[in-house]
Amino acid sequence: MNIGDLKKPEYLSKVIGSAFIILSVYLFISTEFINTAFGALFIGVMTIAIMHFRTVEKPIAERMLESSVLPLNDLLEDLDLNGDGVYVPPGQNLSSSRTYVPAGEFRGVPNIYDEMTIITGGGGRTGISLIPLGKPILHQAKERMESDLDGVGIEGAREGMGILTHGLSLAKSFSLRREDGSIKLRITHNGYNKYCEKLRGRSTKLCTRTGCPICSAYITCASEGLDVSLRVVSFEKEDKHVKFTLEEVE
Amino acid sequence: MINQKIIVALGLWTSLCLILVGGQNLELFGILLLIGILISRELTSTYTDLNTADKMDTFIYIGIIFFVAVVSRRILDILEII
Repeated sequence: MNIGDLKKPEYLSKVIGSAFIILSVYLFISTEFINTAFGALFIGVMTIAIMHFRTVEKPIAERMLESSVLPLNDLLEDLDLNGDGVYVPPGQNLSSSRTYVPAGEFRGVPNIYDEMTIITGGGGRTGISLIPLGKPILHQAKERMESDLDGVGIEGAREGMGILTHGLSLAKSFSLRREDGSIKLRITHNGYNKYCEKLRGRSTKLCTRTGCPICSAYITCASEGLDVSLRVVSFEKEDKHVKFTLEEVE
Repeated sequence: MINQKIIVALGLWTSLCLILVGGQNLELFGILLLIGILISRELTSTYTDLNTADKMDTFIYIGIIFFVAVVSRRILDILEII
């Protein structure tokens, strides 16, 4: 272990916790401040016990997120699949959510099955069906939810997004609301703003097509919560705010 | 991170309890700490992972044993058994 590793929360917490415990022992033995000693012992033990998680360096986490987005983005670019993504919730033929990217103009969601990746539906409904990039992250959030996410409505979707925001620290805040017949989603970035800017610098179509794992997790959460397919109609980035306008489609 | 927020909140709550109770009543101080951890456990239940929740539960069980001991002692005191 390097000295620099002590800056990591899992080690720093142990140093701080130990300091509190040593302070409490000193107060117990040498002074009459029993309550203060008890309080210091409580905080020390809590700090060591609760701050147990292992952390990954932020640049490494960002590179890992990029590694899932960029190859897929390049592939879709080469295939000339430039339609706006549609987030399809689990349903009759699907056991888990999918992101449908139409080949050309959007003409409705075709029948999508679990085992299908390339869709050649009737009526020009051709495209590609992918597992949403944010699905593993959303799965992590779902494990912390007290109820199932599927079809719980906008409040349930907000609960899921709350876990993504406050539980997994993916963003600073979010807002999900219905407005003028569409769904408005706003995500305010915190630590991942530079990562977002970097990806957008690589390809602006990425956000409306499949999204990055973070935005994908939020939109998939909305789609599953509302139990409706959501098509990305517009995307806007203003300072740290990412704004999606989503349309409910059949 | 939610764990850091829990620790900071409990640290502030402990400091507040120390200011309110001072060095007088250890039993009251202990029960106030138990209330603090119960509130933080309830308010953060959806955001914490299972591992953290389990560890907080352990502290709550210890606190409940302490609380039962305090109450039992008070009852015995009132009944003048001890």
